Amino acid sequence: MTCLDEKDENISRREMIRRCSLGALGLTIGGAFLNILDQSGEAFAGTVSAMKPEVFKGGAPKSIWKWSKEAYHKRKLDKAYQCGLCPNMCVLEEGDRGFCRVRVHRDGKMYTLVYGNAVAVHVDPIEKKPLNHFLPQTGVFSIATAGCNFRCLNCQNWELSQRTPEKTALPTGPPFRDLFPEAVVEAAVKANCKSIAYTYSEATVFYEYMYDTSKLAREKGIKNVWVTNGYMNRGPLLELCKYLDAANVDLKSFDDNIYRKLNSGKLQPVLDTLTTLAEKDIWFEVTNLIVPTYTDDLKMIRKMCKWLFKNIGPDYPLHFSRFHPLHKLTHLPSTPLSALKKARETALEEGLHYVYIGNVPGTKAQDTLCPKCGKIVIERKGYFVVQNNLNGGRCKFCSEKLAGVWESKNKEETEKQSVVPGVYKKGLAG
Amino acid sequence: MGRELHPKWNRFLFLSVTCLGISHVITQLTLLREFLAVFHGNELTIGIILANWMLLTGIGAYLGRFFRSEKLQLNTLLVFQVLASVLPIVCVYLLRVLRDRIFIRGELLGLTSIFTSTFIFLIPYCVFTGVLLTVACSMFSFRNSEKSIGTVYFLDNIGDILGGCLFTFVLVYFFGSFRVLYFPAALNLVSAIFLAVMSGRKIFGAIVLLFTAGLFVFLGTNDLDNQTIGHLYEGQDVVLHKDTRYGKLVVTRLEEQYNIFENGFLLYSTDDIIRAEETVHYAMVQTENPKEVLLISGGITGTAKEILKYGVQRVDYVEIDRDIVETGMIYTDNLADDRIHPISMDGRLFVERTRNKYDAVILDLPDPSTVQVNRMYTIEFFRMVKSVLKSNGVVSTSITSSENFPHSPDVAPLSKALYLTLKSVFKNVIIIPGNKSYFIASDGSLTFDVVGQIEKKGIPTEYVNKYYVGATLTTERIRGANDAAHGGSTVNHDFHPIICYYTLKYWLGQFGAPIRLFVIAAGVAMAIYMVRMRAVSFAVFTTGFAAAGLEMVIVIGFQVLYGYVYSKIGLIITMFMTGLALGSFSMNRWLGSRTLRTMVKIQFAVVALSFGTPFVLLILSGFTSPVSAFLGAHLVIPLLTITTAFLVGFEFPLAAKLYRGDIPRTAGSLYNADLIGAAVGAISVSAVLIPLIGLVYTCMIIGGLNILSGTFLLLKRTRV
Repeated sequence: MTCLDEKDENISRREMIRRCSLGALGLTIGGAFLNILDQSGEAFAGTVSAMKPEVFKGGAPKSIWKWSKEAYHKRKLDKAYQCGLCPNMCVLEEGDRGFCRVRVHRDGKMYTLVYGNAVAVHVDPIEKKPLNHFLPQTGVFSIATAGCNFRCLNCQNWELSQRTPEKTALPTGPPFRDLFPEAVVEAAVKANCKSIAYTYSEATVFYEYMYDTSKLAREKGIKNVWVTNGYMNRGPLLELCKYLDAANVDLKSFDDNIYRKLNSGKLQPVLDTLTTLAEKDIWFEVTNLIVPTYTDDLKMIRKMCKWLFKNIGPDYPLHFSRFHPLHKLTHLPSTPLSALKKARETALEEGLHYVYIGNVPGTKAQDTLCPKCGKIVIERKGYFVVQNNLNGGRCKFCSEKLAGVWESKNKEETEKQSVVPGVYKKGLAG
Repeated sequence: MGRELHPKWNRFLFLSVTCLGISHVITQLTLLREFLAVFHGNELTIGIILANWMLLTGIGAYLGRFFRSEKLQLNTLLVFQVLASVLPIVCVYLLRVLRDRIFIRGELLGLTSIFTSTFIFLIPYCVFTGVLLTVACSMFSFRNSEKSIGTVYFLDNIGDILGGCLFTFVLVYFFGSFRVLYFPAALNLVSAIFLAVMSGRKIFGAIVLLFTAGLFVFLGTNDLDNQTIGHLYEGQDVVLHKDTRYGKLVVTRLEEQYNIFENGFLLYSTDDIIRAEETVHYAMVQTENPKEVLLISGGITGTAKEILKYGVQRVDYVEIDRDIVETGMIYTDNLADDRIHPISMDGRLFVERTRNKYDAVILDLPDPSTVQVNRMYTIEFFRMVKSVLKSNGVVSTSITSSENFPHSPDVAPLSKALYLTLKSVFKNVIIIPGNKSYFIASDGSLTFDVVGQIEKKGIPTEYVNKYYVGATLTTERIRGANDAAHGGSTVNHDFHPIICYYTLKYWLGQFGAPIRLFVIAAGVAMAIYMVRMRAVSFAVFTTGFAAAGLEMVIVIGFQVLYGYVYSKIGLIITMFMTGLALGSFSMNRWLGSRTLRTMVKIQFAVVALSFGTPFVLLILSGFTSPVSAFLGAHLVIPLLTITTAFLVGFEFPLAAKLYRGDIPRTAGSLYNADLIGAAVGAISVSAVLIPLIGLVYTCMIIGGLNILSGTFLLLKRTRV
């Protein structure tokens, strides 16, 4: 424990070593500090803590488990697999786990770890997704597994999205955690839901589970809703579109730099998803979260609306959503109502037809107005429709057709009225 | 020494060291406050900052032994004293300006970020002052006997006391961070000028004089506080920033909305309808004809007005910080009603003292990430609340949950512990899941049918009604939230703040940092460090550990018992320094006849004190009348603090005598052992031991460690 006598002959050498190591420590720390100072320009702000998509080397579980299934959309490389689901394009060597935490390379194969492992299961009003033009007033059976291909600082479901399936599945869990595709569809029918939503975390990363469930659901006349950050590659998306009925895509900002900082993603792939969905005539609505001091910039919002108008047309609804300080972005206040109102005015000025404000009770910006006569076609209060002036998908007052998927008595009668005028379709083809 | 020294040289040296002491403690308190406001304020952060502080000073003290020649020492003292005056100001400036350059604006920081950045920011000041401690010891040694180390220790502490008092009783009331730092800066500069002149370095003195003049002209013409605060709130208008007795209060405006930050932590914003309605209505619908309601915190966000919808006669709105209430009155009309009675007082103290009885008590508090907030989540507190409730009265509180995944292992422990704690006091406890989990407790019956009650009572609402909550508050979601909260095993106590631990874990859990690795690495480093130490150093190390650990125990105990006030924490620290000074002074006087035997006795006295402290606190918690509380806070706790510190101070000079090395080496090693021990004590006790195993067992561990070091000393004695 203690040395009683000084070993004089060793002192000088030991001190030398100590001095050297302390010096080295000092130099290292100094260097690190200078490096930080060097990066302190506005363009680099936050670079120290911004995440880059990296795989978890050697992070795969020792063996696969009951919720494993061989992954779709992968490419065999020499010794590795490259996942083709999302623009992160993780390359997984044996024993690696993808950036999303749920896709692994184990025993020479690539697996998803969350097939049938729904850890969050709820029935929500479809308006909560938010989807205002899709089967209003119906319940949607909503499921999620662990994992996400983003790292949003303000994630409201980080306990799901930023966790491995091992961590979310192990403790005494909720009753639904074993829910394979057949069981999902069965439960949705039992709960009298018209649709199933793949939501909360990011469904892109549980693609196999979503895809197989969607296929079964389509057979039973249940619709499929994808609530997403839009970060999926075109190939898998085109496949999914075969069974997809609606989507809500988060367009988190219109600035690649902000995407990198707050979400660890890139802007362009999300825009590509929007055009692909429009091209495939899938109904979708866009959500834009207004984060104070980041995405409340009206110039940027105007630019975004111009892009939307030009590339997908004015008929896909846009929801401006109120930010709340959550997860790691807790040192910013909620969005002031007037910032949301200004954003909405900007979008309307740019010609978008349906612009809503979300997460704020009591605003009139929840109502659907007829783009032609301007009258209230659907008056909403919270998640309820209190007045419906829609007649066969048309405005009762002026017979204008309103874009959306309005009714679904059964699968034959479903009247799909996604209006994407030819002029915009032309734009998409190019 | 080549040049002529002034005949009263020693006195100036005394003065210089005392100035350093004053500067040291003021800088520490100010930087601590600043760091907390810029990073994330909780016990763990405080522990990390203090630990870094002591670690770096310890490294500095160690390095000081390499400054051997007398000339080098004098020059070092002069130059470093000048540096010590400006570095803290530069540090605060850089901290504010760089925070959002280095990290992402608005981002919560994790352990690694906080550790690394406070470490880097503190390097210059702490290492320099650490070097100075050892250098000053050596300088005295050229003129003095073996007492030199004890003398410097004593003087440094006297300075600390003066600084602590100055900060606690004067500076904190009148000045922001920058201006507080001008005082020690001036002291150090003046002291450096004197030293320079007295040692015949007149040119250096003149340069420093010019520099001082220039510096203060600059500081006088630039309001650095106002110039830099905006950097921390970029994109928002700072309408008020103030150092109050409770922390740093900042009010910002974004469009029409006001946001209240305390110590950098967003307390709440105005105009948040969802939050206000959830907080009030889930509880209020449970009452029948309520007349009096007690609202603890948050009333300026509109909750107080929301309560009035139930036709109550009186809402007592208790907010600890008067400035928050004033902000609400100036910028909002949320308190503009005669039935709302704002009271500026600690919430727990109010519940303890009031003679009123309430139909409902609504607690609108942040998560208990600190012992300070945890005091209002404990079984002891809920018992008090019950005593101010009318029969079948309702209490409500809330805690972070995961709306879509309440069973998450990250959040479920919070709900489980809170549920069990409430259930230990009230017959019925229900959880309404919302953006947070709202816990409603009562001895009367409670209902989940919030929407039905709102309709029945005809309360006009925007959010808590059939249109919103009616659609989302499904049976399945209610069941999920309530199931997830069952099966807890540990009740949250004042002196065993388990929810605090879970909240810290929740915070840490959001970051991918390899915490376990970090702890293991630190543990291994510590073990190597301890094994290599001599018995005397080890004793000093364990005493340092005990000192910092017991100080944390006392501070936390104080908070729990009497509420938290910045200035009171300063008082405890000042008392602590007084104890150290008294101890070292006494030992210096009677050093000659003391031997290892005394040292062993001191070690076992520390053991006795460690075992005794929790019982003193427990006994104090039994006396709640204003008089006994006053006596407890102003007599018993200070005495306890002084006694602890006295033993530490008493031991240090003796250890220096027994160490048997040359002065720089001895001073370096012992300061190092003392400071590292204190660093480890501060962080492990506040962040790990108390939340995890409670106050009593923590003190047992502190005592146990000192039994170990005392035994080693005994063994050594038998061998010698």
